[in-house]
Amino acid sequence: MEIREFLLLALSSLKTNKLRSFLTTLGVVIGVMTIIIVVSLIQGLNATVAKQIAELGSGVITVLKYSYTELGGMDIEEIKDRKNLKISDAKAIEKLEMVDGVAPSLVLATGKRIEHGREKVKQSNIIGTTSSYFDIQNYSLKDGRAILDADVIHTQKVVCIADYVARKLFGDIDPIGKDIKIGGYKFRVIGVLKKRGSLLGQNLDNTVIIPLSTAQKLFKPKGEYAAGFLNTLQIDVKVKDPKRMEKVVDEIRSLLRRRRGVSFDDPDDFGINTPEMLMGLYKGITKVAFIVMIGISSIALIVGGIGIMNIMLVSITERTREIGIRRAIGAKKRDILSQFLIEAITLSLVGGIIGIILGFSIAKFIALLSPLPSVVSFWAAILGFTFSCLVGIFFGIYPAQKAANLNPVEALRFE
Amino acid sequence: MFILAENISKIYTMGKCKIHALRDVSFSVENGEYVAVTGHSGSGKSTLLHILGCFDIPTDGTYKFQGENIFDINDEELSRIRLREIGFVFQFFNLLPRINVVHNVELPLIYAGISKKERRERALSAIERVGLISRSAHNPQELSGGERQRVAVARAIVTEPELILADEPTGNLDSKTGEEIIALFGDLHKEGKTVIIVTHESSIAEKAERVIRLKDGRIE
Repeated sequence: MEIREFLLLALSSLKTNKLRSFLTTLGVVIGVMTIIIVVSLIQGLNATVAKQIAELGSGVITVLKYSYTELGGMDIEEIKDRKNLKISDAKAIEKLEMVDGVAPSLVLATGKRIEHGREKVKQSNIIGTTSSYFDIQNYSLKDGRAILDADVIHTQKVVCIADYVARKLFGDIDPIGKDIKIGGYKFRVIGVLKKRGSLLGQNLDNTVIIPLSTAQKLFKPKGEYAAGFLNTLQIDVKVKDPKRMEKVVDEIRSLLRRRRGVSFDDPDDFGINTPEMLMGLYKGITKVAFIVMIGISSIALIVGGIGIMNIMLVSITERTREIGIRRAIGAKKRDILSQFLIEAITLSLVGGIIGIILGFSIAKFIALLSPLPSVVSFWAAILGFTFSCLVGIFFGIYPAQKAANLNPVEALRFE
Repeated sequence: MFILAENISKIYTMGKCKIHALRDVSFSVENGEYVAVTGHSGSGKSTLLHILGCFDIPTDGTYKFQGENIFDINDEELSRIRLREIGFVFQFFNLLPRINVVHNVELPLIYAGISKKERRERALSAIERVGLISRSAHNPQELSGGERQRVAVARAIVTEPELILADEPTGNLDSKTGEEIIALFGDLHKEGKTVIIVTHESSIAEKAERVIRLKDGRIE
């Protein structure tokens, strides 16, 4: 007997019990739907984050006194006690052959108020840096000019403000040439930055950029070399060839180990961070969420599978006589097995397909209503399809075997 | 020798009770014979027919179907014999209720792996033989008892088997339709098929060439 015949048989027998078939597949529908929603949203998020990280500047290495992966929380005190990076470190890195440019920057602890008249913004990132920062960090200006070398040399109290800050403080008024107060000091606005959006839930547009020297002079709480977790110098390094990132990382590592006097068998007391690491860190977080959600959906799938098994057992009892008739006219055990197994798989697959369609629709719907993006991926559909198929096989095999092993004479006598 | 039964016994175990449905039954049937098996209810007629039809296996003894000892072959080959060599007709028709007459008659051909087109042709010609072509698209529930039994006969002959086995084929029919059905078996016999009918009606048994009488599981 051909598989097509079995399939037609399964469909017609499921059609005779429409409501029952529908209710039976619900478990699988819900299980597959959850998988599809989770995969779509996480993949959507991944794609967005990857794009944002790429926009932050591919081929940019961020040297800090800690590595992103160390932020997992092991020994914050040890990190705080490490020596800060120095501007001279940045200059030394700049001399490396494969390095295109270097921007030292100081991200100041938030909590300093930024004011203009009666308007103020809080929780802003105050970045003290040099002219090269704009290029390396991909900041472009909407209006006005960037920080120049001259501003740094002369410790000018000038500031470039991000779009968000400009809107908050000035509304529709052009801020260029106006004065604002940062932590009580008066700064002149020289430029407005283009909008950047957010990354990992952090608003990238609540930022002001001032000359590095000014930041050090006015806001340096414990001196350039003071220990601390924030207020630590960050060195952004643009490499000439992003494909040779690894090589540059190695060179910076040996340079800094030498300059910071790290002995041969001690680990690095600084971190060389790449966008890939940030992406890796992020993926690590979503992977956990992913596994948890897959776990939950698996429970729904198992419950759905048990439902299928239950209804198949009922169906086999109801159709005992049919099995006897089929055996009498020449059906092999294998034919009966295939008939009921394919019926279970069909039941599960129909549920899976409904789940896939519902899952994608709901993910799209969530994407429309919330900032969460969603991606319809072929891969997720295949996953849902495979899972529902496996559920059908796993929970269908026992009832099918039971049907195939019925004593045909007794089955035929069954009332 | 078409069928050879030697010392066949069949014992059913029901709880602690052992029921001897057949005891030391021996006989043979030649190719093309028309045999009736009679006896009171509970005499083991149906059990014997199931064994002859390779549908059940004796507890003891030897059963050879076309020279093949059924103890030597597996379920798959027994199924193949039922499918190709034997046509069953039952007292209670045993048609599948949810599918129409053509599909019922096609059923054995599906298991035989025959193509859809050929299946349809063969099923229709079998239905024509039993005189029901006008009812092909009906479901079994829409047919009378006699018509249902004709469908069952069509299903039994659609694979062109050598042996037709009928278990009380007129048991649920009035005498007139019963006679029509028996006439069908007579025709099949004339065509050269081997026919074995189980019945308790002597009028039907008389039509056969030979009668085997069973009493309490033994041949009288």
